[in-house]
Amino acid sequence: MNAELIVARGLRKAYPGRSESDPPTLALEAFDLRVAEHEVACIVGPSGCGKTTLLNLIAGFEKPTGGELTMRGRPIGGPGPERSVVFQQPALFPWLNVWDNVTLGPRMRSFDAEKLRQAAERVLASIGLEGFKAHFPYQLSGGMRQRVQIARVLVASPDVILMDEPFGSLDAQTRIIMHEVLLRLWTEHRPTIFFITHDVEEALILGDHVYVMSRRPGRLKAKIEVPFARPRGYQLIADPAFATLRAQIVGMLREEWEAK
Amino acid sequence: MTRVAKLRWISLGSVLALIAVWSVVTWLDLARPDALPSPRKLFQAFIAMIGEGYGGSPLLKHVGMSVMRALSGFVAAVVLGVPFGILIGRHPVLSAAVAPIIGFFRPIPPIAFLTLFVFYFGIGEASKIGLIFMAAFWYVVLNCADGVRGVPELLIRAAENAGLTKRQLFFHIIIPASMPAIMTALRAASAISWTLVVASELLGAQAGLGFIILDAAQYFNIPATFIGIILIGSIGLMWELALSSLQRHVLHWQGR
Repeated sequence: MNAELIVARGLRKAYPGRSESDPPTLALEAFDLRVAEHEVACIVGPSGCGKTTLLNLIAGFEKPTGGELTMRGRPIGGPGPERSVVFQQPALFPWLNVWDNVTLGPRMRSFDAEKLRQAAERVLASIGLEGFKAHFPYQLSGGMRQRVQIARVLVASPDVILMDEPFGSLDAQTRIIMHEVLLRLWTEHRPTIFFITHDVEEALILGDHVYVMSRRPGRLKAKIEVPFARPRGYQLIADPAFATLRAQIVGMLREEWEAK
Repeated sequence: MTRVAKLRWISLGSVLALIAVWSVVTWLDLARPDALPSPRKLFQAFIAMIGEGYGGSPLLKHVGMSVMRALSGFVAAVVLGVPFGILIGRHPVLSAAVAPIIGFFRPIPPIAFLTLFVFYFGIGEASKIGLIFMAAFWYVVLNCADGVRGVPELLIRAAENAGLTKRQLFFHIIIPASMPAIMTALRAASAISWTLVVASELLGAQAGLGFIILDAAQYFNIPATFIGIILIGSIGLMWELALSSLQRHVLHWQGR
């Protein structure tokens, strides 16, 4: 087993109510999580269960109300490039072309220019964007914009990639292509990926583990090991074992929204 | 023909149609000729004015004076207003402090201050430029502050996530992301500056397009009044076209 990278113990996040008399909203409570290095961790849960809150806490955009959240044993402070986020909507800077979008962060952190150029060339080529360096975000399709976001994250070479339903707004075909791109990139770079989705199929195709969350306030309901060997492809969905596992997880999610 | 080119021809056509209607109305004597001169007569008066000037000064001097006044007030408003607006947009405390003051002054028509400005700054250039500056300044400040506040949280998070420092975030993200709003502020402020030139020249000006209009009307010199009005309109239109084409080129990504 690989070393633990991200650990949450008794994590709690409450949002204050609209007024002083309003009770606070609990997004996460007594939440425990262990994500190992090089793992692809897929988080599924009913909508509004605090998945995105969890990602925002790990990214450092928000602070926990209680409990412990550490990376490599150190508490997570603010946002940082070692925890790079692929946002749900393509969060590209519209005034920068693809090349500048992808290299902005490392350039600002004064990376060696030549090394950065080589890394960016390599990543853009491997993700199929080499012909689009001078394009601006508005000239790209939704799928391409998400590729640019993924390229930006890979160039930053973070310890963990945080993905918040990155393919949620793409059409089904583009999604399958993006899964294959991501699976291939994982084999090449083996980054730790923390992947939030509401799509159980997506979680099973991509993940080493599927973490099922309860309804709000979110707790960890189950950690399920995904037994399928890599490299994986979309043919996996025809495997009876895949269908069984899928039905099992969907059943767990059903319990959660029926309990409301 | 592309759609854009077709629309341009339609715009040009409507201008020509307006002049045609105007010619027909004057040609058929449907309006009193001393109240509405024909386009031909106006053109002749315009040529004469280019040769002889107006009120003892060449026409170019009148145009130059008005442009200088509008531009001085506008540039001062931009140079001071853009940084101030950005500052307000970034600092809620400062914004809360100035909001009531801006809120009070903004709905007052700038003309209301004209006599006061003449009293304070005299009848020379200072009161005219000061009036233009004051009217344009609030627009610049408010639009820039709104632009800075309107930078999407998502972009700020993406930049923080990429490891940008506070200073880098300001110069590399906040400023470029606010550029469309800043550009809109400049366009609105320049339109206001130009509008106010005429008003500022109502008191004590010896040259300028506003002076021509006022002076000519007092002597029932209707063609000269029309020429002054048409010049103001044309210069304002050209300036607006230049600014919007600049915006389309520099901010080609805006709204897409």
